[in-house]
Amino acid sequence: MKIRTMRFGTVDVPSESLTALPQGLIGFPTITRLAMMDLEQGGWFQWWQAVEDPAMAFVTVDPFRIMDYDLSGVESEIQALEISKPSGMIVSVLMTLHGGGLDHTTVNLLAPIIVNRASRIGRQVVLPDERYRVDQPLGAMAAKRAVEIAA
Amino acid sequence: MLVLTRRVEEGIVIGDEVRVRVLEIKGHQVKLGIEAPRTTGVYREEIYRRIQEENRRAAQLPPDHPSVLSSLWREWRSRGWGERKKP
Repeated sequence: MKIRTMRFGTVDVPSESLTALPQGLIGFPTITRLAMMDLEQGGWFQWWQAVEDPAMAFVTVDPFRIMDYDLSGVESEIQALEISKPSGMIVSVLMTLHGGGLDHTTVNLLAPIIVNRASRIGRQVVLPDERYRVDQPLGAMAAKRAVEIAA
Repeated sequence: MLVLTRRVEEGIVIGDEVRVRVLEIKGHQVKLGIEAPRTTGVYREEIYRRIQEENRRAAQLPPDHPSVLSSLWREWRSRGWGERKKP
């Protein structure tokens, strides 16, 4: 499928890299399809391009790679997506790049996007009890993890 | 804005599928019970706004830079944070 993007021009994406978000992103009900794009050597970081809006692209990361992420409290949403085991699930958080590299990058740990790996249907959910922030500094968090792992 | 007055144990119905009931009033706090389909998001307003705003900011990327991700990843690796396996 060909999609128009502001950043990458017109890109042909395989249908299996498309994720449907029937409820849209929170606050953006018309953004209902995201294409996962592997266009550069981004390692754990991946572009998710909004199909409906060429100007909307997100940098994402799997939060389990960078921390001991706690998804408890959204079991009913996970069940509603018909995900029965952790390996059947893709979890991704949106990153905000304020310019200036890792130390100026934050991650939205409060509202991850959870996707059924098989059906490619997903939803942005909100974790309860405000255990996470929408703008957790990535650099400080990773540095802390590195110290903990080394210790 | 539609304004309705309700007492404890009374509720309102929005469309055919959403019910809001006043469960308890204590001083300035009101406890509400909400029944809605699982596909309907129900959020505290300030949290909804915070996430909406952050989604907007996340989509507003810094000026075009052909390889934002690879430079971010290089920086990540150069700090020795390296690979961390999924649990």
